[in-house]
Amino acid sequence: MTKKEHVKPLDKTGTKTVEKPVAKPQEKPEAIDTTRQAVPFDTGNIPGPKMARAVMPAVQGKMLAKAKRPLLIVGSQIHEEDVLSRVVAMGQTGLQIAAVGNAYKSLGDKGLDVHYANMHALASYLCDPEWQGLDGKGGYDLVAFFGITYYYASQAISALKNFSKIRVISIDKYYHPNADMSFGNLKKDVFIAALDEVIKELPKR
Amino acid sequence: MIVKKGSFVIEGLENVQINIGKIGEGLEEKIEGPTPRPEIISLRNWDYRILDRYAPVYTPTSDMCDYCTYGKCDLTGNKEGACGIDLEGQSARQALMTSIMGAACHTAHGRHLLHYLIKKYGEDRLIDVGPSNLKAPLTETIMGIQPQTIGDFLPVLDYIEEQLTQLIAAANTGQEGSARDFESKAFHAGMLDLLGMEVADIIQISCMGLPKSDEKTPMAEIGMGILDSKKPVVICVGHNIAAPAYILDYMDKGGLFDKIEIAGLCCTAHDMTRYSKSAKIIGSMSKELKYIRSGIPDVLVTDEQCVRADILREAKKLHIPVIATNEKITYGLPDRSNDSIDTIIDDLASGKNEGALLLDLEKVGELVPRLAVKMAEIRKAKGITALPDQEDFRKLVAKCTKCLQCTRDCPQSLPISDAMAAAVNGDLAPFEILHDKCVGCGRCDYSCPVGIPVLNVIEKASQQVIREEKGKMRIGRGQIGDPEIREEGRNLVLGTTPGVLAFVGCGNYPDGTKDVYDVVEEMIQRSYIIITSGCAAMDVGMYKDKEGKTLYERYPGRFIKGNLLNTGSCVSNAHIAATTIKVASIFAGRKTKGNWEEIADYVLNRIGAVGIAWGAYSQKAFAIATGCNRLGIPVVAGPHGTKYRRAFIGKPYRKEDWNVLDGRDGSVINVEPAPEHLMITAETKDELMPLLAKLCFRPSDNSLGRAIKLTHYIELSEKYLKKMPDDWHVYVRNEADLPVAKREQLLKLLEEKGWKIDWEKKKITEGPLRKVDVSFQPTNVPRLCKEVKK
Amino acid sequence: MANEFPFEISPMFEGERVRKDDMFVELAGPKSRGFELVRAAGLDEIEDGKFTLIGPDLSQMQEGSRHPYSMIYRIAGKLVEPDLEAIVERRNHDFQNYIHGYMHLNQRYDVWVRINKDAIKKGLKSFEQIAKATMMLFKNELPFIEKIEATFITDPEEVEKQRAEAIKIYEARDARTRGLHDEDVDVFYGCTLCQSFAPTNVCVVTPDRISLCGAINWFDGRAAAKVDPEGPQFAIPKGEIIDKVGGEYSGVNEKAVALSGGEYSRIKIHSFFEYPHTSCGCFEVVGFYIPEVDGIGWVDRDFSGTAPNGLAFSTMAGQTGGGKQIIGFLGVGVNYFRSPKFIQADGGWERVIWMPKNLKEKIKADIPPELVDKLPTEENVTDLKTLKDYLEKNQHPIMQRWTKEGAAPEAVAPSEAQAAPAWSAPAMTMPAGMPMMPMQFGGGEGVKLVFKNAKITIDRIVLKGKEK
Repeated sequence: MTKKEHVKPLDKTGTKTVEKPVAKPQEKPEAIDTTRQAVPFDTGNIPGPKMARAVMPAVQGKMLAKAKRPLLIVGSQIHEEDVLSRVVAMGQTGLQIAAVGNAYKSLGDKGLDVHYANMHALASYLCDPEWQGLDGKGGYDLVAFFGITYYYASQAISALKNFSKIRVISIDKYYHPNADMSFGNLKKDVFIAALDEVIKELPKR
Repeated sequence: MIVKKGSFVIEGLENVQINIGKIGEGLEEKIEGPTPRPEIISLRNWDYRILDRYAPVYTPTSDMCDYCTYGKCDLTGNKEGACGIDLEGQSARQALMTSIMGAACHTAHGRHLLHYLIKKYGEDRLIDVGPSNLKAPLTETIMGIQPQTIGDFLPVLDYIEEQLTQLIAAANTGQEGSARDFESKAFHAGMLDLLGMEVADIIQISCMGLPKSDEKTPMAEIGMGILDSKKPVVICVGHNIAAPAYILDYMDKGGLFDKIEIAGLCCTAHDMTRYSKSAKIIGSMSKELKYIRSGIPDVLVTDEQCVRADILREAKKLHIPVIATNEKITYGLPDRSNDSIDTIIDDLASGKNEGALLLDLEKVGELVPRLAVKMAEIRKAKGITALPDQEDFRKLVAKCTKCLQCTRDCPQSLPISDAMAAAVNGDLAPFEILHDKCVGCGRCDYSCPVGIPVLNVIEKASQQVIREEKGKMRIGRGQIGDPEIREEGRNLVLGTTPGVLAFVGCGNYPDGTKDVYDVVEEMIQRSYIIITSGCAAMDVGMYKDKEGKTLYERYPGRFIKGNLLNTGSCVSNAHIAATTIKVASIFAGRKTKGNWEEIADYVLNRIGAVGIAWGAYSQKAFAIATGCNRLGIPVVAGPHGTKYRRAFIGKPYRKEDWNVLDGRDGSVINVEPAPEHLMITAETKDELMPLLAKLCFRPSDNSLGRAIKLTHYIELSEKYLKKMPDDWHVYVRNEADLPVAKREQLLKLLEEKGWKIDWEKKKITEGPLRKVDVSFQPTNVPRLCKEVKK
Repeated sequence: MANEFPFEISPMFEGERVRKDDMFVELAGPKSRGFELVRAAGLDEIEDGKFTLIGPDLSQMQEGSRHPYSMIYRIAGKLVEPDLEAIVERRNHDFQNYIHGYMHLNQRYDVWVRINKDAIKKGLKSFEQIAKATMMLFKNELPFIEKIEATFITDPEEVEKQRAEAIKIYEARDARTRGLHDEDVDVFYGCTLCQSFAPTNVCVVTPDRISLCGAINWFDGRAAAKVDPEGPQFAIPKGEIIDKVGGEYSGVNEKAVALSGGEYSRIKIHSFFEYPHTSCGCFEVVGFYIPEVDGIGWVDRDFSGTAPNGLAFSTMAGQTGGGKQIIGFLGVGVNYFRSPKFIQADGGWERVIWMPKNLKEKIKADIPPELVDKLPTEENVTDLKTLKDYLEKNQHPIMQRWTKEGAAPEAVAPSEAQAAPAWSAPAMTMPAGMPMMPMQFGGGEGVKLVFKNAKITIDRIVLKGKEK
């Protein structure tokens, strides 16, 4: 198999030393580092000079907690129990949830403030300053998201990035360059731990 | 004597000879509408009407513009670049460029074919498309002429080419500055695309014996598992049937179909099977690289469109000679059109040349089969394939370091390293699942830092399922004939057909090819009419039910509820749009010639049809969608569709966007959002199905139709999203609109929403947006309203 | 939404088939006996929702067995009358097919039902559940049914007994339908259902003229108008008779103006040439005027050849329809051939001079016997000349029109014309508004043309020679 002069991947592959996700009992670092591997997960997905700042989970959590009208968007990749339970936990703090794709299937019966929306349409409505939100009670000042097909989310929020003033934060497992703030590319267990840290910052109900 | 234009009385005729050129079947031929041969801004007002309601939504893939040497300009946050264009304008400009490219592809294809067919059959060769009053609906509507012969299409192509040149010019730096007008121009290009496709398909149908509105075309075999690889194998890739037709003729004359396997990849395959029942189909574009790497082809013939740029290099590695037959794809190969067949064969078989450009198509016809036989001897002896053997396979999968680089380069982000790990333990199932979702792009090969040829590994692991990949597809039928449309009219009116869904386009599916099968199966059981074309038509035929039957075998191919039709290749998409024009002409007697706006207005307000390009990847697909949009037909793309950068999304919460006029008296009526969007995407098939049902609503629905459409909207949403849609009540105008099986329950729900119900009469007394009035004539065009003296 | 039944009810199950291997039981059908019947009754005679079963219930039946089966519904309401029975009865087929796992074929005493094993597994155990679901659907769709009760019978003797009664009832109904004519009623019914596609089309449905699409007859119209008098089917009081033979009524004309948006103001429902009834587009047959023989030919949708005038169905169909009154072409449903008033304004069957063989076979029973052999098809006649010859040879009554109006084509060709081996173009007097037909002659020697009332359009004139 021929290919062009093969380029070694950037040495942000500190992950090479992390082995398969077999249970490691001592793995519970006081602070997980979600700022590493802050490169677009899809290699070619480099939109331009402005890309998301990589931050720690507590920062994201505080932003969500401080926001006056936050919206959490989750998509078709939240059905696994470990992720789903965290979505539910966030929803139980009163956070309004937009379930895009087929997410509603797992969220409709959990007593949450959850609404179905089409991601593409939602992006377009969020760019409209006159839109009164999914519940008709007014626009949003902060949008957080995770669990949506990667490139789909990335494209959709490029609309928000360029044509709206809403802050967009990604608490997804992957680095999203079009968000204002994002985690880097995370391993599954780190991602779950990061979600937990975000949840810790949210107001209890 | 001064002779001027005008009217004269001829008092006598002496010794006069009158030559009558054409006696047409049609009765009067005159322009009927205001815009025959529309120029760039002739239909701008209509475009604005669409754009006002379905505002363009931009999702840029790049925040920068690198068009000209002032750049690269950073346009983040919708800033302006050096030339003054902002990100909106740049995105709209890209929509225009994409539409132009698509239109150019199909038009050039048509031009190439027309040139060749006129040479072979003459300009006066009559058009024959099957039973139809409007033989070329798009040509009639756009050009204002009814073509009778293939020569009549010459001015049509001239017109398109002139318009395209103007449009491309408008995309140069320093031209159009308004995003809105870029979109209008993109609509224009999209409309031209539909026209170019119609020309291309009608002429090939008329001259090359392709099926003419034939609902009972035979089945073609399709799949990677259908060929006998022990025989010499010829594979044709691309879209243009001119060259493969010669090969098929030669094989037919020589009785070679038993001795040589011949199959096509992508749209060429569609048209080959329409030309000759003995041709077979490997599959869609996404099978291209996979099939070559398998080593099975002995000769590759390319023509144009959707052919991989690295085919020559890939083929060379496997000693497969490539014969290029069209100037648009020449790969740097030497032009051997004037050389003898024997010399060419010798040079290729000996490996002296890796391929040849051969524009003499008759030569191609003889050369390719003979070359295949020769190459088969050589290649079968060497047992050439790119795929690793068992031993190598095990070594390769063990090399994987789980760096995830391949996943990061994969368009579908497939979990390749997980599959590698499973394979190390002898479990090939994850690879088999992955193989169906893999679009065969080969990016993973380039990404692997330890040199695993990932695609080959996937293919090797999936050998078992590949052998079983055998489907059936009904051969493309061409147009939809008038008698079928007339018969179906009753179902459309009585609501027994809830809508027409067209599954078209490419194979860049987000989650594998089974999605289209699943969605079609669900919707066809609900009596939607399903029309397919292109790669989607193939993928629909690849899965079987418990009894081993494909969808094409289970459902007939008539334009009637619950049927599955395949129009053919990508250029056959024109007939899908053309069917809506026929409906307007047949049922409403609308004049078509030069009357685009009125026809599109009719389609937008009355015809519940939606296009689905679930795996659209190309510029052509976008152009087709944009053209359909200008005709009033909404389109849904898969999630990759966001990379087209522009959608047309309606805002149901803005009441003022949803006003129409009543054509009877010009009064303004506020209607429910139907169709809610003109171009949008969905993330998964669960979301897609209720969306399709919703996009089939139209303001002119009578109660029977509305009740059936609502039934499916509600049921699909409950089944796939586990919820009733939040906006179902918006589409209820009176109690007769409610699905009959659930009427009582729904009335209760409406009451909970604050509507007033008269329970004794089971009537809704307060709540709906408007009343039902089946005589209501919705239109968006003021001049189409009758003047009423107030 | 909660479902009180153990099965889903949805139009999506309409087409489902239950095969022999999948069926739990078969009821009625070709190997057994049964029927379905709806009867009108007084409001005080019925207990709403009551279900009675005579014979074994579903849960008592063996898997794979076959039983006789009848379904009798009694309906009552202020607006209910015996004429509505057949309409409601027809819906039993539609509604029962909505039930997942239940297949209902045919009607009346041909009914044939199968129930799928899966339906039983999911909890279907009694005919009461089927009956209740069906009754719910009846009431939902037809609110003039204020009360309804059902009696299902699976006892063989009882089925036999009641079946004989039912057949008498069907026969009486059919006699009434056959015997009911336009002059017997005060009210016709209009249907504008297809205005969603054909904005100016209105069908006037009378006892002697069923709707174009064949879906709505006079009784259907009556029932629908009762359900929703303001809906797409509504009463049209006849008003004064303006033209008995042509079928023109003042009440109809009034409605016509209103509903066609002013497109036309008069309708003669049994006329071809004058103010004909409009069509939407779904008509099965198109009639076309052939001036050369002053007759009307008919061609159906499935005929793929050309008529003697050289035109195909699709081309001619394209001239009519769209809810417009066009003279010279008329779209009709096959049913209209059965009407005793079939184009009676223009001579009825005596005016019919050609149709395709398949169509002729289909409606043979409705053609007056003495005309059957005089009516040519594509097997006898392929163009206008052979048509005229055939009609003459067989002494078709249309010939009377030729001598009467002195319009026999040969005689009209002016004396200037030499003896022509091929056709001369006849000077035709066409009804006003008639479009020009293409002439059936070609170039070649010996053809002389006479132009009258012709319009010649010249694209370019090139002047040669002298000064201009």
